[in-house]
Amino acid sequence: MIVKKVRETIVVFPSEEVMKRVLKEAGVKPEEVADVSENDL
Amino acid sequence: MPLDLKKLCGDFSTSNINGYAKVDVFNISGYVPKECEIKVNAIKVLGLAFTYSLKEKRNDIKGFVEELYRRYNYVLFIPDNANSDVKSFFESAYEVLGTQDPFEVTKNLALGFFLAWKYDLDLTDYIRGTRALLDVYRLLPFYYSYSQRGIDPFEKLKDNSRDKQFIEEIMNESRDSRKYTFFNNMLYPIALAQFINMLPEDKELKSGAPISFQTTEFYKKLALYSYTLSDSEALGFINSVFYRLKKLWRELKGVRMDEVVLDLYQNYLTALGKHGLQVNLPKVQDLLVQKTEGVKCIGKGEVDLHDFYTSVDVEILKAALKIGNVLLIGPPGVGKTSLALRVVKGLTDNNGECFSVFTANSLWFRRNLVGGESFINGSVYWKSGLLVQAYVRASRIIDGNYYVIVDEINRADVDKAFGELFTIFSSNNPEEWFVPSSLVEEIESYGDRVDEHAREFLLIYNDLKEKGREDEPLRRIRMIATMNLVDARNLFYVGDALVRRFVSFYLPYPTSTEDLVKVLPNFNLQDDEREQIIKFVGCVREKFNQKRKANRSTFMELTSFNISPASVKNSLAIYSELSKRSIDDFAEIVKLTLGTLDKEKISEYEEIKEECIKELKRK
Repeated sequence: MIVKKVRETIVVFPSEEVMKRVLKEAGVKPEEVADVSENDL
Repeated sequence: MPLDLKKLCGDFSTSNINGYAKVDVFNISGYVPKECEIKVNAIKVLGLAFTYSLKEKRNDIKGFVEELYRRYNYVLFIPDNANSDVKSFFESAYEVLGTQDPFEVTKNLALGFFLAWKYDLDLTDYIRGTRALLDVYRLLPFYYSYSQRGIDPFEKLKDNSRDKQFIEEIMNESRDSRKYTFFNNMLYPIALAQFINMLPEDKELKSGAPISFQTTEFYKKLALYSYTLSDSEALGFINSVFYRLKKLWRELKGVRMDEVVLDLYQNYLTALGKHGLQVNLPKVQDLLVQKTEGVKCIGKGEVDLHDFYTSVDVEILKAALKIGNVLLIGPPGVGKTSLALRVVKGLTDNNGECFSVFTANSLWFRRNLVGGESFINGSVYWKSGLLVQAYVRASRIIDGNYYVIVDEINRADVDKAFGELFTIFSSNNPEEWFVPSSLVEEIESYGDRVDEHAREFLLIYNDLKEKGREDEPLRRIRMIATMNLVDARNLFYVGDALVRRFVSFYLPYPTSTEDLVKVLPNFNLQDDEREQIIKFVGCVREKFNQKRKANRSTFMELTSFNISPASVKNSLAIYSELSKRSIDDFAEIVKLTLGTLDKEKISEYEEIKEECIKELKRK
């Protein structure tokens, strides 16, 4: 599983492929995706 | 001079047609001979279907055509040989109908072009008109049966040997009732469609397009038409017609059997009984399952968030739902269920036929999710779970998806209850989801002892299977589950099973007072009250966050407590109703709406509350 912070929302994707599809579908830019840090939790 | 129809009927009955054409075409007029007048009267509103043998050349063709159109609204004409009088017939029809346009004529005059090619007729004009009709009626099985085989029926006409082979192929489909198979597959649907003239030619039908009113007329007339068959033909023919009828229902998803038609159908069944015909036809109540029109579950996608706070970017959530199932995880009161509902309503234009909501509980088992054995009045029967129900509802959808919201999934024993469901949704690509044949076999093994949903499921599934589309309804299903983070241990216990099948969104407590911006304007409060409430809530949340960070050691700390948006909203609702109000009152009300009975958390709030009130008053 892949945990990312996308536009301030913590999202867990089942796979990288799903993540790419969802982000593409939502028109999310790469700069809007960040790794999840301790502080986010 | 008007013709004696009785005499004409006699003529028709002596038609001499060669080969399979004799068998098939002749049966269309099979009811004509002995009781022609009575039978013909019975279909007066519809028209007259007949074969036209021109061995004995008629001199009164125009008068004959005039009489037909005087008596009948529609005329189904199946030419059986290439006698030049066939052309005379059409020429007369053009004259009677006042047009030279073959298309205009074919609206009321069905052409047996598939037979006529044998006799070197010039089909150019006929094809032009009929092709246009086929475009309109392309959902009908006649055209469908060709297109499924990747064959252009008109191309077939150009190549006699291939066409002959094709016809033989169809005839071989059912040796026991070959004439009816041929009739149903090739002639009946398109001819009847033309015959009834049920659809406007300017209306392009897409798969599943709602055409309820025309279709109602269609079946009404179909029932009447079937009633005109002779007893000797009835049993096999009616069976095959109603087999076709059932298929048509599925072909045309917008079908709606209104009460008038059902009454008619009931009368039809009664009439069959009077004739002593034992026909295995569906009961009226079984037809009711078809009542729903094609459902559109596509909305503008605008999610109403004007009075609702969520930390989730709904565009990502909508994108995830397009691609698969979604899990919303967070502590109680952060708006998981409300978000799910608002998104689904936005995606479906709030169409109640496009979604359903279930709340899980600890007693949930496979039977609740998929379906399974149950008992009623001491008998064992098969009861449908939410998946089978959703499949049936999804099958009615012509555009969009069907959403199943499962609230508080963590309440159920996920492994036990959701195991089979997870297997079905095992792929992250809905296009790879399929209905396990073992499930279908299991339901079928119960025979009649299944509930209404299961009966409908089997009908739909088996019908779609013939077209290789049995998994389509399943692939339209999207599940949105919610899970309380307070049950984080449960999350990690079943974490893998869940996260592999869902895109999961975390909805944390607001870190500050983001939610109040949305909520406060809805309450009639003084400005200074609003300000104090914002400061108080901000203070409490901040202090809870500080405690959480101080104690943080694992991911499990996500369960740390705070004031939820729901708690604030509920508190405001109560507070705004008070006649005398102070921030102390508000703080007390918040305590009542915390949504927890955990003494530790409540006393933690008490401490924080006191500190924040003091800070507020100091300022």
